[in-house]
Amino acid sequence: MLENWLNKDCISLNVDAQDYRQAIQIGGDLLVANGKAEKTFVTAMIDAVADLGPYMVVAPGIAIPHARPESGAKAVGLSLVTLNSPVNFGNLENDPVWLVACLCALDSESHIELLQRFANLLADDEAVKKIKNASDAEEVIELISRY
Amino acid sequence: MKKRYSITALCGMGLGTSSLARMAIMDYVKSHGIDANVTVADIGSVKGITSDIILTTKSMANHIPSSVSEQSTVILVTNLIKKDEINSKLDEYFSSVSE
Repeated sequence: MLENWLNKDCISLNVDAQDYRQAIQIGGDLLVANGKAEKTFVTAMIDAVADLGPYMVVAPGIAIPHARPESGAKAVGLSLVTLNSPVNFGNLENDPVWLVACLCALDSESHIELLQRFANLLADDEAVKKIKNASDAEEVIELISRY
Repeated sequence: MKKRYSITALCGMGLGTSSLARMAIMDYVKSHGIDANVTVADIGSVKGITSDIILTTKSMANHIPSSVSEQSTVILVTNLIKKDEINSKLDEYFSSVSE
């Protein structure tokens, strides 16, 4: 089911990023390239960390950057980036981050099913380990389609 | 009469992080037979929250004004994916209010 919101073109594995800004930029650019968000949305996701804090690092090593729909979201969707070298977001408990999943939402409701399914995936240690070790987007698609 | 609790999941925008928290809280109250109204809120509207519980992440803590934290029980968590932390902190709260 998750593949309905996260397609192969929105997955980028074992990427190099200098810092959290670059990591979000890479994930955000995938959403822009796939017509799911405007460029302004990417900037807003980066600004949110600086303005509101690193609360979107929802578990050890895992960040779900997002911005308000009015910042330029065009569809409900997700992108997924794994980093070669983890980066710090400034979240004492959950840094460093190796998985960056940028989330696009259009309102407060339409992304909830996506989020529920994605949370179930992230709660599965085996699945998370497979994503961490994946080198091919097809492997990730095969895995996420079970959630 | 059984009390109906109000619980607010709070985050920066009231969209992603707080929605994850709300799901975990909903699972908890359902499985424990607790009557609760669980809502999400963004930090911009924090001053208007009058819930029994405000659950948010540790990195949001310093955004909560004392006028709010004096009225509500603020529960801070670090992991919104594994339910253990949220569950044990809610256990703590509900065992303290039932005494």
